[in-house]
Amino acid sequence: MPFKIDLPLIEFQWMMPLIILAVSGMFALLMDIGRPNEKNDAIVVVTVLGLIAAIGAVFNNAANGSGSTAGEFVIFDAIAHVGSVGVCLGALVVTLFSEPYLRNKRIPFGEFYPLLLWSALGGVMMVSTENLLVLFVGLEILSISLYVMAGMSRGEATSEESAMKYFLLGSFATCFLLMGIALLYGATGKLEYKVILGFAAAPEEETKMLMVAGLALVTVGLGFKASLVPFHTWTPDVYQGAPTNVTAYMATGAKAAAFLAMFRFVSCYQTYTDLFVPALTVIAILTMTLGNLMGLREKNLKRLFAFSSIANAGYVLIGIIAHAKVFELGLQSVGFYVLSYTVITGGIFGILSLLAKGGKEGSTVEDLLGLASQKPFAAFCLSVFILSLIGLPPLPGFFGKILLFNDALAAKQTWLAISLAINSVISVGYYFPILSAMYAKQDAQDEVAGAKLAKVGPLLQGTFVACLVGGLLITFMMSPLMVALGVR
Amino acid sequence: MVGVPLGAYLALAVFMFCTGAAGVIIRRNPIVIFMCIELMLNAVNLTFLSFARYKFAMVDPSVQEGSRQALAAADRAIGGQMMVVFIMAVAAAEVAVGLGIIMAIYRLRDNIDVDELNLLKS
Repeated sequence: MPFKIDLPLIEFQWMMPLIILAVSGMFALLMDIGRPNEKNDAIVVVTVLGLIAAIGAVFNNAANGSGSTAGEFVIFDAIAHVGSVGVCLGALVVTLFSEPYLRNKRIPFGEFYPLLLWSALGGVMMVSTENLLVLFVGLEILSISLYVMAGMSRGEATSEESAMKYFLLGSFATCFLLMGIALLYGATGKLEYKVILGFAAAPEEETKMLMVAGLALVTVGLGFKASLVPFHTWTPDVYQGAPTNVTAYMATGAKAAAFLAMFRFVSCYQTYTDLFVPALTVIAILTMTLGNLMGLREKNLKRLFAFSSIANAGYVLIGIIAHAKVFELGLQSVGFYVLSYTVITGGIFGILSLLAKGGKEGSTVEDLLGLASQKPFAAFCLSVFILSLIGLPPLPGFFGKILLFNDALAAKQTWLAISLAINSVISVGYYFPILSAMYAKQDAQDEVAGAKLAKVGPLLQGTFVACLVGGLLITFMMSPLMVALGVR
Repeated sequence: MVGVPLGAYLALAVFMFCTGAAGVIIRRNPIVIFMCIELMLNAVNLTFLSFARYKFAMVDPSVQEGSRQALAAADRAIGGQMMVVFIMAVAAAEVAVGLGIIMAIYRLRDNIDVDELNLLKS
């Protein structure tokens, strides 16, 4: 019997964001072969252009509506658009401040840019699919690039250690994700969300256990990437050891991909929602509270922002829970929070990259002493970003939290709303020392401390301005932005 | 039906998965940890293949070859088999990166034991 397979129609114009990222990554790698005198300027230009083109392609897709192509392997809808823009925006901010940082840190690693582009490609794949196979491949492209990037400072034991920890724990978590996929496949015979969703909507006694275990394990696998609390232990170590620009990408682009992939996956719960939502609610409250409480005792800046990113993961989970509970809710708040958080956090790590100079890097709160007198503009930007994370109006963080708060109330998750409000107050406890260190009174010792800061070149200055303007733009242009991405 | 039943394959897969997970937690040598992760991946592969073979590829003998029912069964079975191919490819990529990282650590210091990886703390 001839075995017939109907080849699916592939409409390449819809897949442009993926194609642009892959091709510009290859192009950047080819340029790296012939780069003169260890200068990466041309590669940076290609990377930035590639990322901007990919964001443009996403907006172009969004303007043409939504649908699917390549036999429903690639889905382009509002979730995909928001997630793709989040991932590419994170990579873009990181690219802007990477070159000065890599030079100051003396990491001669030109392959960073292609890896970053491919990592973004994996993230975009993760958010624009409703197929578990493609989700897995996207997640692995994202992760394997990150393992390499985390260890790219070859002479530094801390960088290698963070790469090893991330790699071992990351592949361990992937095994659980895969086991979950295997169990869902065993229950349904398919890897498509819509089939799984159908089985979950009309549960059969026979496959019930497989479904519950499978859904739970896939959630765990994605929760690891998003660093939700029982699976967060890698976060502070890896964030501390990895080079600052890689940490920035983990906290922005990789997180955006994990959140939006999870956002899509929770719609598979269907009749099991009553089982999973209480569990996720406990995880969300634990994530926020533990993240903030552990941040209070922290003196190392990169670890501190790791705990801050754990806490913020808890906030975003509120929107995801609201979406699991009431299908219509959540996308606007999660989308806005992820986009604004990406720009703000990217900017913060951009400023932290100033601490690297002459191959060495300071990382404690004390190293920021004298920042305000030495680099007033950087200090101003950092204080705006931190005030935004605290949630002061009219900064992006405030609106993001208000949207999540509303969603929690609309989905009748009062405890989440209360926990969000309390945690916003707790977080002031560790953000405030950073502000006071920056603006501490100047004396002779601080001038010595300030001299350890790197020079702010035009590229860094541009990054700070772009993050500041970008963050405010996302906030005040929220409605048109959400309409352009097809969220409403 | 004669032969090894589905339950036996699944039990073996669960045993392999648990052995691997326990190994990751208790072993101290990164290469052994990595082997345990590979064991877990192979447990997943075995699960996929046994489900594909027993639950989806086997149809009632009365079903005609080439009929819609048979094609649908083949379609279901192929999903799991494809997944195994992808898992093996990705595992190979992970091996390349993982051994590279272990080599890099070995060049910085002679001991690669994970208990010695304690530079990162508050």
